[in-house]
Amino acid sequence: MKTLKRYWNVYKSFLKINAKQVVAYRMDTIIGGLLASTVWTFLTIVSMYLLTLKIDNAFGWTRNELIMLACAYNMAVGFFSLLFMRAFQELPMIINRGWLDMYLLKPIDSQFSITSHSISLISTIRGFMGIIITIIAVHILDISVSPIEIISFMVLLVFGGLLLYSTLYILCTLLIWFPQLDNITDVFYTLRAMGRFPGGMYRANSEFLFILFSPFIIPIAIPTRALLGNITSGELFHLIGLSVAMFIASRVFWKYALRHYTSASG
Amino acid sequence: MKYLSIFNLYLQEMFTQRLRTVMWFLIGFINSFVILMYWRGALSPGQTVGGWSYDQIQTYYLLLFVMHVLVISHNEIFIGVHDIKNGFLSSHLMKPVSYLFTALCRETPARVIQGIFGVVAILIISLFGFTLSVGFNAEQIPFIVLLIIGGYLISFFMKALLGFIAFWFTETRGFSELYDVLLLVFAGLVVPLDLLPPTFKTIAYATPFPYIVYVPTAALAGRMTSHEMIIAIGTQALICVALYAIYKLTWNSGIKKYTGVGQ
Repeated sequence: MKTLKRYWNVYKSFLKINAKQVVAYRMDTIIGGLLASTVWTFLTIVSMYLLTLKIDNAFGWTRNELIMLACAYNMAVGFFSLLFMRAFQELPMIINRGWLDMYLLKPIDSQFSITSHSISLISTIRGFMGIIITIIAVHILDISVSPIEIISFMVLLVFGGLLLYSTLYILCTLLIWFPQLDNITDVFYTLRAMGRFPGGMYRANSEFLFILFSPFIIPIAIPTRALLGNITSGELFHLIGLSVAMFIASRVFWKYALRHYTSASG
Repeated sequence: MKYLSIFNLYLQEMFTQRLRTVMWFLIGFINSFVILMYWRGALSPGQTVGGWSYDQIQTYYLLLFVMHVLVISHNEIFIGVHDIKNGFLSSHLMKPVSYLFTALCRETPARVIQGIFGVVAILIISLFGFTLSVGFNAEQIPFIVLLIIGGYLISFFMKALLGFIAFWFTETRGFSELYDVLLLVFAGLVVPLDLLPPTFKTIAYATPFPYIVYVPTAALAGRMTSHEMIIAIGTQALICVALYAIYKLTWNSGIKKYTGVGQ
């Protein structure tokens, strides 16, 4: 309990520092955050709208359900970006320039400090825009949702977020061996965008592809199926099992990688 | 001779970062491949959508992927972040070589190498049941080459202008992402422009974006006549001239703001 309280106090400090940064760089916040959040929110929905313009259903999902998936994707990505993306974007520079020492020498778990020291508060905008658009979509598309489905959606989204976090952490751990890969987070963005489409699409092309890219495909699709009341127990266990397994794997892999960290700048 | 040496140096530098180059290639590949998989599942063989057959859609996205990695420039990162924000522009200003040419030499080798990767990749993919049927004839090849070069130059200039925003703003990410979104929609990277609603299509053709990727891809797929290609080349030339003029104006204005201390 004391440990949790200590980590919570550290996280509050990180939040305060990042909030001050938002206020100090107001124009960055408006241009970098507000503009970027708005355009990506609308792109996700507009692109799904365009792709389904002449199609009524695909892969067991109706057009309305696919648009709901796009809305849910925005919400999930917004909150994921809020909590983790800025920290992960800085990680290549931290490792390449040998600054990781500063994090390793602190009396706090290194995985926690690396992934939570930098918080993109402005991404809250995208998250809340996602929520608003999802609510609007539910009404416009005439999709009925029950309170149980909403709660299931939110709980499963947490597991989805954990899965994305763990997968990104494993990818970024590779930077210990390949510090020049500063575009690895861009690769993650691209792979994460696979989650805009249902798993059935990948399965229809190749079961192997679906299995290989499950960590990117299921984090948002399965919670959305819960919201729509279509989830199966197999999907539920798939998401929960994979997210827990990947989180454990990310910690084990990180501990292993640190033995190879040489602390020399690139 | 000095220009050839500079090009050669950047070509060699590119080969020192092979894995990074492969990552950029993968980004372009995955983006196009995912949407291709969507259409392969959403349509059945023999079905058409908006005048595009199942085979034509597949060909479009395979060629689009090659154009994506060959033509779309990423020089805004070097210009905006590395040179302007971090102050490395100072070293370029002291050299007796045009900065524009240096930036071009820095970007072009990556495009060429990734384009080669792209061609090899789609030839391999086409062996696994993906249809690739180009529709141009031999006499259209010079036009297609010019369209590709024109598309690359338009992308290069537009990304350079994005990079120049760093002269005035510390944070340029919002502008870059706005550009990326407009490119995705209006350059045919999500759906072919023929399948856009009429309003979107009109807006698209009022911008330079279709001439970056969509027009060269449509030419390769055999959806343009020679006459249409010539008109497109002329349009690209006009766009390049206009962008070059804006480039010069922005450069002359921005360089006065440049302090060279890094951020």
